[in-house]
Order: sequence, then structure tokens, then C-alpha cells
Amino acid sequence: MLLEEEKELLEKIRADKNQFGILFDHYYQPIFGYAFRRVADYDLARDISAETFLKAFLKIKTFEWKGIPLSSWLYRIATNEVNQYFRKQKYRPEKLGSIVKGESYFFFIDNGREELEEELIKHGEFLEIQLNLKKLDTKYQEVIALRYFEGRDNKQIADILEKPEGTIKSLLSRGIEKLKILCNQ
Amino acid sequence: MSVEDFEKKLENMGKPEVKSVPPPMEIKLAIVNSQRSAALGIWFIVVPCYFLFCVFMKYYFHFNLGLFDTFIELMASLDKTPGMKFISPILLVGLPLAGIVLNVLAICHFSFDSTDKTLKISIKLRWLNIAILILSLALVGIFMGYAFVENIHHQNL
Repeated sequence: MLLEEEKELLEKIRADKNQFGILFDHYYQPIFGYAFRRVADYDLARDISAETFLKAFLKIKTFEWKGIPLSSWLYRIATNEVNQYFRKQKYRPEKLGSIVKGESYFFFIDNGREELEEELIKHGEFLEIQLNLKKLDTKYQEVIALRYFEGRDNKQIADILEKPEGTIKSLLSRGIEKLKILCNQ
Repeated sequence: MSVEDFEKKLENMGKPEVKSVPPPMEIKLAIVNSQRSAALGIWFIVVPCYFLFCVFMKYYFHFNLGLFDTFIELMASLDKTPGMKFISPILLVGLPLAGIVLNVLAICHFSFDSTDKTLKISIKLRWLNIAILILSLALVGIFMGYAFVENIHHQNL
């Protein structure tokens, strides 16, 4: 989605909250994919992405347009959710619980789990890196995941994490060194 | 392996793709409708609340709010019009009942555990929904109570 299109969509959502569905349909897969590659757990990734979109839905009226893509904002919320999981190691979505009606709710949306578990098994090298990445401080995890798992450049990472590009560069270089040691390479 | 080689390895490494997972419609609907039940519940009780407020003001404080008499006249004329008798009960009792159902569904979760054969009911503490639920119950109770007492009164005459 182009920046102009995102701006238009934001205005539409502000006028009619039902339009949020367009944003959800467009960005659900990238956000779910990001969460899945960060935590390597289907259920957790699903909870994180649902919580991300719910928080975005509740806060979108206060979102200030500064020319930064909505996707960066969604990645920022998702990153905070993932970090929250790594801090507590037991993820309890705050907002999601108030709208999702327990296990029966998920009964309908479990398709895709097997394929994704197979995908993980197929990518052994990724899984090894991902496991070691989890041992690093979250400030390194987030920049490395955004750079190498999601293919974002430094400017985009800086927008997502609201940090200067210089900070991103140094976090990346220190993080890679630490990760390399953990991977014994 | 040098840091540069390790970086290249990270860049070229294959990553799991999630293209097989479509955006789940259930989550989307739940998110977009998350605030709707309470909002709809408020609309359902606006008319009966206003009516009750006017009655209270008129009979306890002897203060007649402008629209009250028009409202009573409209109700009386609807009651006399064939096929329109159901409008006032729907407005005063039906809508708050719908509000009750809607808000009960929004805060309650029922699950049946087949191993223990137990029905588990959990209630989410969403205060707006609970407040609207209590108000709707009070409205239905007052109007049903009034209808009941009036019926007995008429039968005794």
C-alpha cells in the first residue's frame, strides 16, 4: 500500500471504524509472519497479531500522521507485544481477553497450523538462529529480526522503533557480534 | 567465519513464510465489533429511560418536561390504532430486553467440559456492559411490574 493510499485509508477509518477491516486484511499476514518468525509459535503469534490489531483499532483515532507508514506503526505495536512476551515469558494479551470468547473462538481459525509447523521444520538454519536470538537482550532481538527476518532497512527500522538511525546501526553491529558468538560461528 | 560472512549468511538464509494463513475473519469481526454491543445497548434504553425520567419528574417534582405529554399522546394513539398496539411494549420492554441479551452475550462465556461434565460460565468485568445490563434489567423490571400491578388493579375494579 502506498503512503498516499495509507493516508486516505486512515481518514476513512477515522470517519467509519468499519474501514479498519481493510487495514486488517492488508497487514494481517505481514504482522502475523513477523510475530511467528520472532516467537516460532503458532498460537502465540496468533495472539500477538490479534492483540496488535486490537490495540491499533482502539488507538487509531489518536494516531498522528507524520508521513510514517501505518505498517511501521503496526510493526511497532507488534514489537512491543513480542517484547512483553520475552520479558514475562508468559504472554497474556491485555485487551484481547475482553473480546475473544475463549477456546471455542479459536476452533474456527486453526487452519494453517500444520503447514506453518512444517515450514519451521523445513528451515532448520533459521530455527537455530532464531533460538539463539531469543537469548539476546530484546533491544538486539528486535533490530536483528526486523533487518534479517523481515528485510527492513535501517531507516524503516528507525521509524518502527522510533530510534535514530545511528542507534539502529550500532545495535545491529553489536547484536550480530553477540549472535555470532552464540551460534558458535 | 567473519562478521561479514555471518551477516551474509543471515541475509541469504531461508525464512518460514506464512502465506498459507489467511486473515482470520473471526478476529477481524471481534475487533471491529468490540465496542458495538455496549453502544447498541445504550441506544436500546434511551427511549425507556427518557420516558421514566419524565414520569419521575412529573409525579414527584410536578415538573412537566415539554415532550412528555406529546410522548404520552403518541403512545395512547398508537394503542388505539389497530395493528400498532405492539409499538409501546417493544419500545419500553422489548428494546431493553434486546439490550440485556446483547450485553449478556458480550460479557459471558459458556464452555462445556465433556470430561468433568460441567458447564463453566465466566463473566468478563466490562463495566460499561454491566452498567447497561443492570439499567436494562431495572427498566424491564419497572415496566413489567407496572403492567402487572395495573392488570391486577383493573381486574379488581
